[in-house]
Amino acid sequence: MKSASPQRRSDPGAEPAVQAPHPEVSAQPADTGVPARDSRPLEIGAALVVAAVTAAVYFLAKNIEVRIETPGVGPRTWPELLGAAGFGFSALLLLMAVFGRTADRSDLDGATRTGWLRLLVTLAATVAFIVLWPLIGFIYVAPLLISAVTAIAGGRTLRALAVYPILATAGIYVLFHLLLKVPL
Amino acid sequence: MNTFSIGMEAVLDPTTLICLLVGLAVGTMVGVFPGITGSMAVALASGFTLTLEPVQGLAVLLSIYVGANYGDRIPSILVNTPGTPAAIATTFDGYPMAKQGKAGLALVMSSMVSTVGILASMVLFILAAQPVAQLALKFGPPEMFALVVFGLTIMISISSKSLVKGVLAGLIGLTIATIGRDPITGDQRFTFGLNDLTGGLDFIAVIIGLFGIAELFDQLLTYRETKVKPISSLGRVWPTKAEYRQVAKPTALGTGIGAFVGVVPAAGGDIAGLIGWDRARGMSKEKDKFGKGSIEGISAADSASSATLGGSLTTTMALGIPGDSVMAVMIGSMVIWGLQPGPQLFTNRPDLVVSIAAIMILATIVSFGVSLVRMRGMVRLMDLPNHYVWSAILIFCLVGTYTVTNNVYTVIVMLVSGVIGLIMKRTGFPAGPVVLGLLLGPLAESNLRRSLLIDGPSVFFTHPISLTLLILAAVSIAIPIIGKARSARSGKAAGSLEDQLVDRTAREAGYDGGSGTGSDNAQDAEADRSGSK
Repeated sequence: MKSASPQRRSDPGAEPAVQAPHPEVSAQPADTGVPARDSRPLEIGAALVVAAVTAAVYFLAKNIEVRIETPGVGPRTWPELLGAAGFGFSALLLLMAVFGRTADRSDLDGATRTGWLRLLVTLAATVAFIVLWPLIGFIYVAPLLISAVTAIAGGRTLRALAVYPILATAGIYVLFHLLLKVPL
Repeated sequence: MNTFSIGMEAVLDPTTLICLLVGLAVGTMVGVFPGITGSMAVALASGFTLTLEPVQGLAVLLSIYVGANYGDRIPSILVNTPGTPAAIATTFDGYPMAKQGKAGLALVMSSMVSTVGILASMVLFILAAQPVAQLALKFGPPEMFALVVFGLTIMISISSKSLVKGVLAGLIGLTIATIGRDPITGDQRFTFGLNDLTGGLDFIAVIIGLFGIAELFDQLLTYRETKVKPISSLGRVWPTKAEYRQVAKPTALGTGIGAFVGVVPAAGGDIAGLIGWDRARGMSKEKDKFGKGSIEGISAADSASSATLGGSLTTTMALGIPGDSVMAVMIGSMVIWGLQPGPQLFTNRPDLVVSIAAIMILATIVSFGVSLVRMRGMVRLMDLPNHYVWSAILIFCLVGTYTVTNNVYTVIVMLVSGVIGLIMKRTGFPAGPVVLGLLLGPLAESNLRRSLLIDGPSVFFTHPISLTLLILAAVSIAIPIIGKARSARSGKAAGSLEDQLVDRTAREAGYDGGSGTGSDNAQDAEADRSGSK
């Protein structure tokens, strides 16, 4: 399937072009995107993880408890096949990661330090939301989450941190709880 | 009452029409924001449409599909950033046209040819879906298994940068599908004694995680402040008579290409748009203008990418194999409604097939009208700050997933899928094969086991259709391997087939990544393109 985001074609060495804009066209400032760096340790790590998972699948599949043992094809067959095939391909991937050319990651945007912070804080806020939702109630927890994520993403005004979260929560409550009868 | 009237009555119900308008509004907005794709929106919407009647729910989902197809051209033309991957080829000529003061003309022409493309492809659906479904009714277990293998391998070969990673992603998806009860004997597999796992992992939760949360997390991780402003002046809007004549042939060509490409599983608007643009340039008398603001270029690209909708719908409804990622989500939703896409749908629910066609046609006509009237309004949407968009996506992902089972456990599955989806994206594992594997896994396993019980492994090679599909599957894997071997020999880095097509076509459009050659227009467009999110 197509990747979820549009492919970004960038060349880190490209100079932003200078040209006289059309009189009706607004200015187009320079590019600031940075592609992700290739990483052999990342490739090796990913291959090892997948190998471990697929090996686990194979062994767990062999130990599936069946009520009636039948010779030949049964409930274990398909998962065993998948586990074995997966382990074989992940071993191949590991060899390619160790001895082959490092996979090109230039189509990905590079992570930033601020980005890691944004991500981890958002993840923590989301986990806290999931824990508190059944305890406190959607109406109280949702504005806190929306406000927190808006702040993490750079919102600083009263409208962004207070008005928008309250209105968004109210809108979602009306739509889901009242109209669609989902017990929030 | 005959089938046609039942189907049409369901669509013309006021609630269904409201659902259609809501879906169009959501789809158009989704298309306008780069980084939010049709699959993400349909995945989110499928969560809260489950409480609706099937026709109403389909009205929302299908109209999101159509609306996104119109909305995604706007950022392509005004900011040189495709709103969804299907609009990549639109940037080649759309943005140069905008810089020449013809943004309005580009937007209108895009809407017109997109409408022609979708409506023509719906004629294909109406004419071809039933015969294909009739053929598929003759498929036995070996043919169905071979069809699943073919669908998976096509997807892997087209969209995976690394074939090995693509195959592993497909295997992971198939493995996840085994969690729960065995489909034939009912024995528990990989449940670890947890009641919540006996029903397996919820498909909607996994796809919202993989397509929604993962993408959001990636944007949080990589976002850099850019100051690219969209082109605000639209200039002349309506084409002249000469321009209408000029675009007739490329539109027809693009439509034909798109309809054919759409039928191939996993090949969607992005591939069709690129091929359409390329072929139109080949047969144009003004080849030099392509990539510099050619109205023929934008017509061919957009008609091709839009025409895939009907082809994709044909494959999905007639065979039960999703034509693209949006259709994969659609199948998941339909299964939850108790509807099984595939040949049986035409026998058991022919009225629903009529409804689906009517929804698509109606959504296309309304979208076309809206896109002409509200153009300036949609342009302003792109100014919405990210902090509103991100928080909205997150809360909708959480609530939308919750509505599937009214259980927080499902939300946890979604979040875990999202984290895994982010790791997969950062390490180069495609999400598409995982989703397809998860969706088609039970079908593949049950048909494999039945086939092996009937005649043993040789059955796949003694049935002609099954053998043909397996050969096609092998060819679809072999072609990228050969392509990569050739690229390695010539010293070029090779991505997926999709990547290679984009790179080659982008080079021909004059976007040569700063090598110093090419027009100012092309270099500026490349700098602008790489400056956007």
